[in-house]
Amino acid sequence: MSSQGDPDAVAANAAARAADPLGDTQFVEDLRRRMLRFATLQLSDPHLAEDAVQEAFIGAMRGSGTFEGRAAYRTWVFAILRHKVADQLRARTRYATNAVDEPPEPDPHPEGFFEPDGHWTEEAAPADWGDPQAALREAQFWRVFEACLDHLPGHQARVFMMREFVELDSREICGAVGISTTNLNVSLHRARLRLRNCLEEHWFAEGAPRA
Amino acid sequence: MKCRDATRTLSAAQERPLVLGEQVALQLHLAMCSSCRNFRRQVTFLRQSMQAYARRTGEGPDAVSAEDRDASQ
Repeated sequence: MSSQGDPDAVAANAAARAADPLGDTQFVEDLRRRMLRFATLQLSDPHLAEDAVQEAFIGAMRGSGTFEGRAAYRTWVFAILRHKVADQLRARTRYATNAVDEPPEPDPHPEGFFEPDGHWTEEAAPADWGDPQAALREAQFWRVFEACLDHLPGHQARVFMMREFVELDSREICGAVGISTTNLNVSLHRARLRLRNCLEEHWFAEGAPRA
Repeated sequence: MKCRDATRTLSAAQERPLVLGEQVALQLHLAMCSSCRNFRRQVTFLRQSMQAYARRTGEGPDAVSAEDRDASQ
């Protein structure tokens, strides 16, 4: 209904929102929830996750203080959280001692992408995605991408995000989680198979619903 | 080498340099398998898109305008 409002008031309101992203409780609550979900998955400890999220907000406040709107603020505060999570996980690497290496959780699905003889099944064989880089500019692609990440099983999601989002190396992840390189590689392989399958099904395939 | 092993090797190549034997077996397989060549490109794309995702934290490039739209409702 902004078209019927006083344009000056609307503009002033928008400016205030941009200047103080923390003034918008809905925005803050949504952002906090997303950060907490990420930190809890990575740290496997709700209390440590709460602390890390809070420290990230405090860290953002100590920062420059001005942001070009809420998107910039969100990116900034999430980047701080990512660094805090990486530091915590790296610290665990140092203290990790002969952790028990459990076999990777069974995941029949990626095995289902292949015939018993090791060839791709007809449905699962990767198609040509053309120029996938173009998708990175589409907002709807990112919604599909995030939904596909959310559908990874817990352990796969955790180590894949550690590798590709927190950007720890294999050795650091094995130390932090207490798994062998073999175990990690199995999980990363499965996560990549699942993720590419999901993206193809929901975005890159001809006639994909793109939603 | 079968497709299952080729994808395992391509995934491992994201983590460490391949040894010569792996490289040769993989190249021979890729030469005759377009599905696995597609997989190779897609694994690279996954890494690039995760880096882009980390930069924008899961929001599309129109996140700001989408918010303004929501806020004005």
